[in-house]
Amino acid sequence: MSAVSKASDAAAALRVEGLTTSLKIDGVWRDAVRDVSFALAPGETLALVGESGCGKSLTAMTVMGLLPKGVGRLSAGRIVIDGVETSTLAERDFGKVRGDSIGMIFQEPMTSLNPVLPVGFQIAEPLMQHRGLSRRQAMERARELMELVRIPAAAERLKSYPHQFSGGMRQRVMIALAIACSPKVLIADEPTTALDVTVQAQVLDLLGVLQRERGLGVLLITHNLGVVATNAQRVMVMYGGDVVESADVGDFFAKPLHPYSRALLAAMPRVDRPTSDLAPIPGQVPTLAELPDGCRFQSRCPLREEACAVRPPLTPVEGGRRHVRCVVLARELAGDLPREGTA
Amino acid sequence: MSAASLPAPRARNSFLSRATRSPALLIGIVLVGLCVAMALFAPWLSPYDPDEQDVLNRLAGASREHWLGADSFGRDVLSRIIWGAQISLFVGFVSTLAGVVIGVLIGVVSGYYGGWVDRVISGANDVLMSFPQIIMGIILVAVLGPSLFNLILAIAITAVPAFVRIARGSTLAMKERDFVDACRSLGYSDMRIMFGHILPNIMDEVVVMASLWLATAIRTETTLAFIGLGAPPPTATWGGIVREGFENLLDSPMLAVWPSLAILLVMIGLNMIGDGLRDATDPRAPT
Amino acid sequence: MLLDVVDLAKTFTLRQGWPVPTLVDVRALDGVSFSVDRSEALGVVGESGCGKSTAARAALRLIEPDRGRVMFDGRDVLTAKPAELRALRRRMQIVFQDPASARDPRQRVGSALMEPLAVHGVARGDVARKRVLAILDEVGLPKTAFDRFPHEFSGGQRQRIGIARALALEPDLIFADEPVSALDVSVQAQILRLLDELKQRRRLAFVFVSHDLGVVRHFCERTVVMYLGRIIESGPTGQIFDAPKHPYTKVLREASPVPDPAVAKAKVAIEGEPPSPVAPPPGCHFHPRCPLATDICRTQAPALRDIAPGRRVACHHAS
Repeated sequence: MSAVSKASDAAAALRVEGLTTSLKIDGVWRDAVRDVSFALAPGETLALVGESGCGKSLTAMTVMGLLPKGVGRLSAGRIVIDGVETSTLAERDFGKVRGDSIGMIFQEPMTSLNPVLPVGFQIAEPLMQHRGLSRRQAMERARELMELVRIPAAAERLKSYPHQFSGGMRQRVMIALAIACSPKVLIADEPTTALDVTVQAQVLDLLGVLQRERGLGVLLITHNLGVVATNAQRVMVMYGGDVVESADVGDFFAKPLHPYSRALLAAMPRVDRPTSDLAPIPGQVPTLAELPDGCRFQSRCPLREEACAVRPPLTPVEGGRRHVRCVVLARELAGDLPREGTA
Repeated sequence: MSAASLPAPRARNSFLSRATRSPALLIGIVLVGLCVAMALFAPWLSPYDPDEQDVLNRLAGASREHWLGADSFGRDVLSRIIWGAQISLFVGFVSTLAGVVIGVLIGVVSGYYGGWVDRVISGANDVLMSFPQIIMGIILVAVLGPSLFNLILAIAITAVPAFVRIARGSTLAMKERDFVDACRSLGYSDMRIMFGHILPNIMDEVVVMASLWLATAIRTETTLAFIGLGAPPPTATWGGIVREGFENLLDSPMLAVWPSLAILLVMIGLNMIGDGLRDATDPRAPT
Repeated sequence: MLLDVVDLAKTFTLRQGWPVPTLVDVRALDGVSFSVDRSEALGVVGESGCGKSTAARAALRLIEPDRGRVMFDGRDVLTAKPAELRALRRRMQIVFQDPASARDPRQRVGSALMEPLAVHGVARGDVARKRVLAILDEVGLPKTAFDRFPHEFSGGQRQRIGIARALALEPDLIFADEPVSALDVSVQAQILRLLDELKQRRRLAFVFVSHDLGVVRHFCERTVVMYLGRIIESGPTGQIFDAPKHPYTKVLREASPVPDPAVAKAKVAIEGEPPSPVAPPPGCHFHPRCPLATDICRTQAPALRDIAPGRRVACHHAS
């Protein structure tokens, strides 16, 4: 499988190869994420988009080593975070990487913060644990971090509790917490889905600044294509556990290739122009047990043909600038298909 | 537009399958079931008439004729325990049932209407709950006079506040859900919403609570009987048998032990059922 | 006008603080007026806490407003006696955001849909059953849905059930409170399509509450924008989003993500977060975050005034 990346392997902040995650459902292990590969360069934002159940959050959980034992497992693949291969690490050693070279923020910051501890202490905690800072040094650093994420009156708010912050401010606290140890990679799982649009814009703006100034590699997980367009450089679309398309954001929005990508954009009502004719995708996202073999999207795809019964490879197109997992498209675009191995 | 594909029908058996997978619940059901069977079939099961006195066998130990011995009037202890199960369980079940019905009615109304209705009811309820339950029982029986009906009434009244509280709390939680507003916007009457829609949704919790309360009610009955406020003698009730045995504790200690053992088994059984039901109805519990 | 809401106000009183709680007033609605005509959809947009859901519920009298008038087809909703109100509610229905919480989990779909028919004496038994099956078909659900429980359906299907129930009594007006916000994009489009069809076929009027401007632009002919309990701008949806007049509408519009990297970059910086409705700033509620704010904005609340045919803005500086 060709690495879906521009980042050279050595420089990658996060590299994932052939990641396959299985979930145990009714006693049967099923692949919920299949063979996902990407590399994330420092200072780059890679968006992972798709609808619920497509495997985007599961991919993030796998990278973070947070799969619940006995329910989910990494069945195949390699994960390299900042040069350290974590997929083979024992849980105890993984703990040193988590929060240190990789941080994560979640959709609902209220449930990810401890409600009975002041936020300053919560930000300082990983610094004491991973960096061996004294309590005073760590609190000082926590104040700096809170200023960095633009929380007004940071010094006074160190002693505030999570419920005393608004949703947007809590998400800033989460970001401060996640970047406390200056990680190379930040995974943001639907970081603004619970926020109002104006607050969403502020938080995403902040993430952009941090990413540029600190060379942070951001894996942005979202269902919102608008957020992708504004905030990411590259995009990977997932459906049914498969990456179906990956491209630069500019190329992608100029001309989405995969039938699912196209359908997703056509189904999205837009605020900037009238959308009199929404084109819904027929049917619904199949559950893991219902997913068809071969191409996962075939049950809802207008281009479906017999060949779709076999799982299509992620094929490089447009001179290897982007990749798409679709036999029909691969054949149509065969003109600019480079020879195997040169991608 | 095709939305026509439905998932395969999912049998609503998750509760049953969970319940049967819980050994505690099964053991509890067996224990309580045995006691209930014992009470129901007392006329056929008991070897003697529980009130028949046999002076020759006063305080006799266990023997082939009297498996658990005889009491100070020479009455067969096994027969008395078997018949006593009838009264004790009957009092427990009826008083709990009455407490549930009254308490849930009040609780749902209180939670649904809110406002001053709710403030008055919860205030009164808090006062009632602040009395230790056994003291309440003693006061009520003392005032009403000891008879089987008054005993049931007293225990039922002590049960009411607990069910008011749980029904009110669950109703408040349900009221937050949109379906109550949906019902109102469909023009349903308050009665229909409270008892047709909210009540079925809070029954899980009520049933769990009721099974635990049943144990408390039976214990209250035995305690009241023990201190002489139970059903008047010579009626056999477990608490009464313990009391009679207690008077002869030095001569014949097993007299008090056997009925206590019966009480213990029912308590354990009912608590196991209660805990098992709670686990089985808790949606957060792993399946 | 089918629905005419005039000067609706509602203040909630909360207990706040520990250990000695104090009572604080939350102005959820502060003189809100809007109207909807047959087969028209009115969008109500704004951020959380702006009072948009409260407005819908107060108009339906699911919560009692403190002040104002709600006229539905010439009849006063707020002074209606219980029996009259029940009759009026037949014609005004509501669809909720969370289809899971909006359904009685213990009731099969068929019986949930037949119940309102029985309650209002519309139909019973086989007649009711036939009618429910027809409605299920109309909202794109198979007949087999009749005997199922709500939890057996996917999110989109549950929302179809919610719509089916709202339709059961053949209403004239539907309040839709974030009806597609909990759904995936592909399913959201299906539901919007369904609502489009219903609007056309049944000449239904909608009050469509949403935080998603894209969805509102697609579905609603007219829109009102709310900020901290007040309407700050109203007019035809396209005009409002293409040429917003109120600075807050501009901010809202710019902050709404658009799936086009070229468009996306032009962004207006927005300062601060929406203030708490517990202590809204005096004058124009938006002035602390507004780039145009002057002295008058700090003291005097701007009235909603006409600035173009069908367009109204509450801003001292809009023209």
